[in-house]
Amino acid sequence: MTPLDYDPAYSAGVRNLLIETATPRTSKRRHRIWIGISLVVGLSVLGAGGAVAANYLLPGADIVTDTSTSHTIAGVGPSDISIGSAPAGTNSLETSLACLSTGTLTWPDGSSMNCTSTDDANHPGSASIPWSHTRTVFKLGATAGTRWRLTYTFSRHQPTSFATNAAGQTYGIDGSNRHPDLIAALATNGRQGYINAKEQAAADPCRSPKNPAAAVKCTDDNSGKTFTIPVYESDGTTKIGVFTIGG
Amino acid sequence: MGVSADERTDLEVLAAAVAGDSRAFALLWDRHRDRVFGHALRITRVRADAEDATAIVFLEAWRKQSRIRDVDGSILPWLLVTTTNVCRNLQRAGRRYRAALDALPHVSDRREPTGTDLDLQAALRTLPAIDQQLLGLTLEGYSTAQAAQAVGLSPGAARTRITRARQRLRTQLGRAPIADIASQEGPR
Repeated sequence: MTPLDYDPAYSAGVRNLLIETATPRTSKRRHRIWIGISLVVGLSVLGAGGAVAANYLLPGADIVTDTSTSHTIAGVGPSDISIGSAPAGTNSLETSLACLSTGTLTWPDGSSMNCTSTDDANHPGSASIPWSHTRTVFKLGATAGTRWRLTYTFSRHQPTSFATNAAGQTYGIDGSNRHPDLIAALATNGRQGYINAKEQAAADPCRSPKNPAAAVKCTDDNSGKTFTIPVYESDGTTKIGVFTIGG
Repeated sequence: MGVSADERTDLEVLAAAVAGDSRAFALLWDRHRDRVFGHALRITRVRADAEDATAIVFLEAWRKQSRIRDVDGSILPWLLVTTTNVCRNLQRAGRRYRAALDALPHVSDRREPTGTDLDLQAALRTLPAIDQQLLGLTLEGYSTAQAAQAVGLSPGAARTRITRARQRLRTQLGRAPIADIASQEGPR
């Protein structure tokens, strides 16, 4: 019998479904946090494909362990929220922030989310932020009068190294502080592969603005446009699909 | 499929998943998907059914996590036995997961399996369920003792059943069935 490959798109879907199924009910929101992280901290590579960070085995992905259960608190306007001492071993805080009315909400690290519709309560913004275990106050920025709901869980992130292919390129999950040559991404056909960081940068028409005003104009001029780049195996040359940027 | 060599047994990985590390459960998929798929394909002979059955087997493993019987720390025999059971009635086995599975994407290459052992598959289906499970495991390279452990029989009872089942198949097919099937890899 000729060995047949298991449908790769279906396999990626089943794999994610298994992770969803195995996620404990109290931290189901935390799992969605991990998928949604790009929306807030601007990791555009995960924006179109999504869900890559949920893959336990990709090099460079942090191994994340919760050190507490999740807590939810609601309020209005900018607030210094006392969240208590973190358990020992904590180095991060997983957060999910939802607008319950229109306005802008800002995380302690300056990243923000703007809510304009009543449906935004169902689409929380998520971020995993470094957190020293002696820190007890979460400084939330908000437009005056904006109602919000914050769910947070203390956690521990353990980084793993990127891997290197035969051509000497590093590959793995892109991070805010370290960037591999080949960035893990999900192709539009559902297959998991890697995009070339140089090709990604070259596809961005606003990569070298002359000044802030030019950057804003460029973004506005190109709003809604999409660009397609190849997705490769970890060897950096075998094409397995495409990835869409922008839009 | 995976990158790092994880030294943990299946049971240790499953325990981690049950304790809250949901991503560890995906590691079991990475380890055993192909073996389960190969076994499902041998039984169903229809690619889409075998892929569905494979997904259902792992979802069932989560649902029945406290009842999984391991063989030397490996849950692969349990997965293969479950594959045999799921393939016997795919409709019923998949009912609770139908909505979730139907929402997942497929790619367009849908080659079907070739091969001439349809007789064997049909003959196997005439056997009682537990005999199908036992023979399925021996076809996958497990010893009689391991197969016995996987289905919860004494080695003697398993040996008797396997011998009788093979005799029945030989009578039905007019030839010895087992030597014609080579499993793709031996058990770990």
